[in-house]
Amino acid sequence: MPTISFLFFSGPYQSESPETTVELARAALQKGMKVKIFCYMDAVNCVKVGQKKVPGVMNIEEQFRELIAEGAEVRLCTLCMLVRGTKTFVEGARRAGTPDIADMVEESDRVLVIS
Amino acid sequence: MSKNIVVILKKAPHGSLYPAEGLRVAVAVSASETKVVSIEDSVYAFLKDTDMTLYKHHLDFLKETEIPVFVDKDSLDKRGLSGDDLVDTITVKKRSEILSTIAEADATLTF
Repeated sequence: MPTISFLFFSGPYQSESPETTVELARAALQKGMKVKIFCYMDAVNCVKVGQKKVPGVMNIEEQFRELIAEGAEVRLCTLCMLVRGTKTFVEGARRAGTPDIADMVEESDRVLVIS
Repeated sequence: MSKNIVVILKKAPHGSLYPAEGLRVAVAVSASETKVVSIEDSVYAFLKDTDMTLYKHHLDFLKETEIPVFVDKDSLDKRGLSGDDLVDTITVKKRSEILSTIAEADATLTF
């Protein structure tokens, strides 16, 4: 099974990068690929619990929950969470560190960076 | 066999943390064959007068572990800078060499 990884930088609700990441990750899962997402810098807030649902706006928390349920591995930069005070995150995501990026690159057929 | 990883720095050190984070990741992936390439406004990160508090230790680590940091000469020229303006751990490379370095990578991580 081919593996694709995303090194993802953007926080939610400021640009379309989170939506792009979600849609690409979902497309890869639907094609039978293994998907790994490393949320770095502001992207750790994409999995923060309690995001308000606004009609017409993709709820990023919900999308990440679904991706995890569909099999995506979601890792969060622990230091990035600490400096942002991000304490709660969706179930199934896990804390990680930059050495996990090294593992992710080694284990992947392709790495996409989305900023 | 470990992968050939190139960390590409693009953004300025003022107004963003990207160069510092890119160097942090370069340290993290340094067990692989790693190179750092600095293009565009990221070249300001390596000026002698730049405050490197956030990433000096990463640069020192990369030097100790002989992981090269290449700066794009074209990017320097466009900003009126030269290799003499940079700290001595940096190697200035022509654009063609920078492109070859990137082309040879198994994975690029852009900051």
